[in-house]
Amino acid sequence: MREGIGGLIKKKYIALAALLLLSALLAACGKEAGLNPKRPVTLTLWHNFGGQMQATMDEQIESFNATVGKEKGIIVSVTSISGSAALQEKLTMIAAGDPGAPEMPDITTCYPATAVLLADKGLLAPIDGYFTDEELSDYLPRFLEEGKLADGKLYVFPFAKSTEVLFLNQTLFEKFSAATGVTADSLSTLEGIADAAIKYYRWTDEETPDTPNDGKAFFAVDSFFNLAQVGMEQMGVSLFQGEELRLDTPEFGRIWDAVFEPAVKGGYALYDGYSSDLSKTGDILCSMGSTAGILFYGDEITYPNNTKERVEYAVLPYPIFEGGEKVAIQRGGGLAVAKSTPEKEEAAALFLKWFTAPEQNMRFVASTGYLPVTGQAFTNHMEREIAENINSNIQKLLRTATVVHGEYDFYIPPVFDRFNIVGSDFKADFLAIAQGRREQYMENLNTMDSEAAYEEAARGAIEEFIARQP
Amino acid sequence: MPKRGFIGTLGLYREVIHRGGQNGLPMRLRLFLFLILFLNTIMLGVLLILFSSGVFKTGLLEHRPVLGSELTHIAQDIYKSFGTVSVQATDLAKELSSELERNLKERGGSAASLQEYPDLLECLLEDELGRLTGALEKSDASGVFLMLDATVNPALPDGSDSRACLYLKNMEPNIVNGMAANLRLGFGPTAIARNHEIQLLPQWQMEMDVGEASGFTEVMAAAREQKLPLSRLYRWSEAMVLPGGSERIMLCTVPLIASDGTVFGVCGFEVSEMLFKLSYAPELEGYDHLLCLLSPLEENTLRLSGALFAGNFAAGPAAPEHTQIDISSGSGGFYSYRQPEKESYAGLHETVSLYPVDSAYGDERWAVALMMPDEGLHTLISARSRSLIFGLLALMLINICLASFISHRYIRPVAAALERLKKPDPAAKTKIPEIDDLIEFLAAQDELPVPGEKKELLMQEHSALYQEFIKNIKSLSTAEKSVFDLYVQGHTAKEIAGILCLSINTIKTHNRRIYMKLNVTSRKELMVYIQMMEEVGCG
Repeated sequence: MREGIGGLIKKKYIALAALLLLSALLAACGKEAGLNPKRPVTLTLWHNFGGQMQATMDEQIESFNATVGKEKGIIVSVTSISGSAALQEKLTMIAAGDPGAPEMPDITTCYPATAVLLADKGLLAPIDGYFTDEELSDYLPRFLEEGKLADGKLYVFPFAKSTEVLFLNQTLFEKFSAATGVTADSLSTLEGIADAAIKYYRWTDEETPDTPNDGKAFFAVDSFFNLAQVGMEQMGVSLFQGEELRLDTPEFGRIWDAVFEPAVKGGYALYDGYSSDLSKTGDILCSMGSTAGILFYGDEITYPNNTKERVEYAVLPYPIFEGGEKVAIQRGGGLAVAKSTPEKEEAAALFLKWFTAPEQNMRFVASTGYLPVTGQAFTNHMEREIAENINSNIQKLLRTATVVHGEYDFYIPPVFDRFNIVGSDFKADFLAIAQGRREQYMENLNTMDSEAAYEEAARGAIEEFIARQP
Repeated sequence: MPKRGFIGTLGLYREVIHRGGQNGLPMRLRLFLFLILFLNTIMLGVLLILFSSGVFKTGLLEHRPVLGSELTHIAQDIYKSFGTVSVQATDLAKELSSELERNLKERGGSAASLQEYPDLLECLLEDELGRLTGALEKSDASGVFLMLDATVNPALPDGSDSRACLYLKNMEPNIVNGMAANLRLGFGPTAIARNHEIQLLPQWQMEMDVGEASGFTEVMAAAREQKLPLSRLYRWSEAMVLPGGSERIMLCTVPLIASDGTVFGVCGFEVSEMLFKLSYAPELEGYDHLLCLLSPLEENTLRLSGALFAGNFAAGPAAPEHTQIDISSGSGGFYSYRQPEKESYAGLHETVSLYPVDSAYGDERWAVALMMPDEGLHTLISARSRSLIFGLLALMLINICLASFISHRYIRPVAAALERLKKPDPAAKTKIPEIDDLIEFLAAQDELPVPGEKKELLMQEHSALYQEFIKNIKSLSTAEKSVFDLYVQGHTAKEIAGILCLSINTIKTHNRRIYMKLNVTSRKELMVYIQMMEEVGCG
């Protein structure tokens, strides 16, 4: 018994000595757990914001690094800036484990469809655990909802959300309006835009009587796929049934007609790029695209002979199909955090929290055209920003965004693996068919009148398009 | 029995202090102190070696070679990469000069009369698109450009400063994989972009305004003045932002020279700050505040307004208002970089050659610098010293524990042996030869005859005890009485064992019982009583 107690005491002392030694060594090594300003954590960040948006991102990130980052021990380092599609392609490569795929960054801008692929491979960390319910409650619920994946956890944190609006070159439109009586009000419906487009083509064609059929396009849409999805929602149906497209419906027929006819007749530009590129040269007057495209418009257009004209743009709410509901698309991704060490995940969450806080969020919104992500930013900061922003295009955009936020329902595209492929094929097939039929139409015009030429060119086009879809 | 471990040692110290050191230090404390002294002397020796080798004094010096090596590595990379881009730009200029001249000739024009054919400009540029994109994809650059010394519309008010240009930017210059370069058109006719499915940059402009970007015309002017080979005429611009742009870039610009010597444009490559950052950000672990810059060097000044930065931007003097930074000698082999009323930096720099010696721009000096805020360097040094101090403290703690443990372990058998001496057990061994010898020696001493004077004294003093002793003899058993009688006859224990044919252990057992019954504690005392018996004639 005595030996037993002695043994216990001995063990106690050995344990005590070991503990003291261990704590001394740990203190010496200084490797404390958690964030430590003396030993900052570096987070790599990929984003898809170029040009002026890149400058804003850089500024914000530098501001974070110099303030909260410095205080907490976090350094955010941008290691890749690429186009949205290229970035998603790289992330897809990472998810697939392709040879030559780059290393996963700690934070990346990401769309839900891509996040699904990454989360399936266990490459993403859910973020909601780093936020209190109160903190999350200020974010717009529909934005949060979009970032939640099948397990109900938040993987794509709302950050650069956008919707689509109608950009109108008001300066050029006024000349057209004065000559033809077409008003900006008529552009509130897709049918009205189609009508204006055909009239604009004729009007511009008539300006050069010696050269027939050289009219100009009035309108371009960045994504016919988005237009089809929103159009169907406006008419109370969905473009998707599960993961399948529902194209054999009267509603899709209406959408097709509203776009295809002006496209073939030359009123809609068929262009596989951003419609703002066509606006910059005055090749179109009106375009439909993301609010984040606002910076691409500028305040002048350049003609092929390098003469420049100062112009003003109007930013109008998303047009609807006649009789349809006010529905607009909710676009844009968010920021996803890679599964990593608890310190890095915590640091990333801190960055997201700071970045989306109303003050920082509004700074980003005010110089990029994205939408605020918190209720507080929408209600308390929007008016002041509209009044103070020096960029008139952004002012107009924010006004319209406030209207759309108040009056429109937002459509969130479905999330499934093949969504991006379905979308790009949809757009490519439409452009290819419309381009082919337009060439046919132009040929037909040599021998037929306009209506007959169109009838002939359009025959079987929608069927061909539907047949091409999976 | 002494208490165990460090707490026991502390208790002993307390006791000694309490007694005021009157009884001297117990053996265990002496040993503990000796060991502490010994181990800490060794530690002190190590410390002295560390001091003498300058470990404590030269925390700065330790970082010097690390940063020096990183700087050399980065400077060599920059030298090689920028040199390669310069060579590629020169080759591109040769090819473009020749191709454009041939193309012009075929269309009835010439380099000298380029401005007379504004309608040709777009075709000329478009024909070279493939060559430009090919060169860009092969290079370490983020953009490529071709600018002709002519404008599509000289009649415009700003026509004299406007130049036809094709400027392509690779949006992902750092990505090297199977995917084609992600190109955007920064300057150039939109028709070219549309024909080749290239998107425009938000800041797209149709032509280059050389009034705002004078570097292009300066290169052409230098080429006109100095008849040097192209490899001596390329120029690296200072970092700048192109008209309408937002990103800082450096351009390697080479003149286009026709066979008749006409300088009719420029071409070259762009290195963006993003590409520079991705390529040359210092990657030293633990040096989180380190930044790298490639800057024009003038006397003892780095001109930051023309520098590209890589590394931790938060720590860097990247704000546009910081136009220059003065260099002076700092401590520990570092340079000190100071800006008026701004944070100071410590670091190293070395010049890097971007031109051949006999280049038209051979006198323009550039430097690659690695620096960090003074505060960052101090943090590094203090972190290192702190680790060392904590390590030494830990070592000292280990010394104390070891000394306490060893002194306890060593003294325990000695103390046990001393205890045993008080209650003799000849059969027990301490397994410490010296102590066992001592016990045996003392036992042997016990068996020696007691001197006469002492006997008398004992007899007188203990007559009562003697009577008791005589009385107790009757209580001895027969065997014990036999042993006792032989003792009386003056035999030793060994002899008795021999006489009675018994083992010595049996005799020892009898002895214990005899001692107990006769109430004596040792053989010495027994012999005193036997002596007394003989004297009074009881034997």
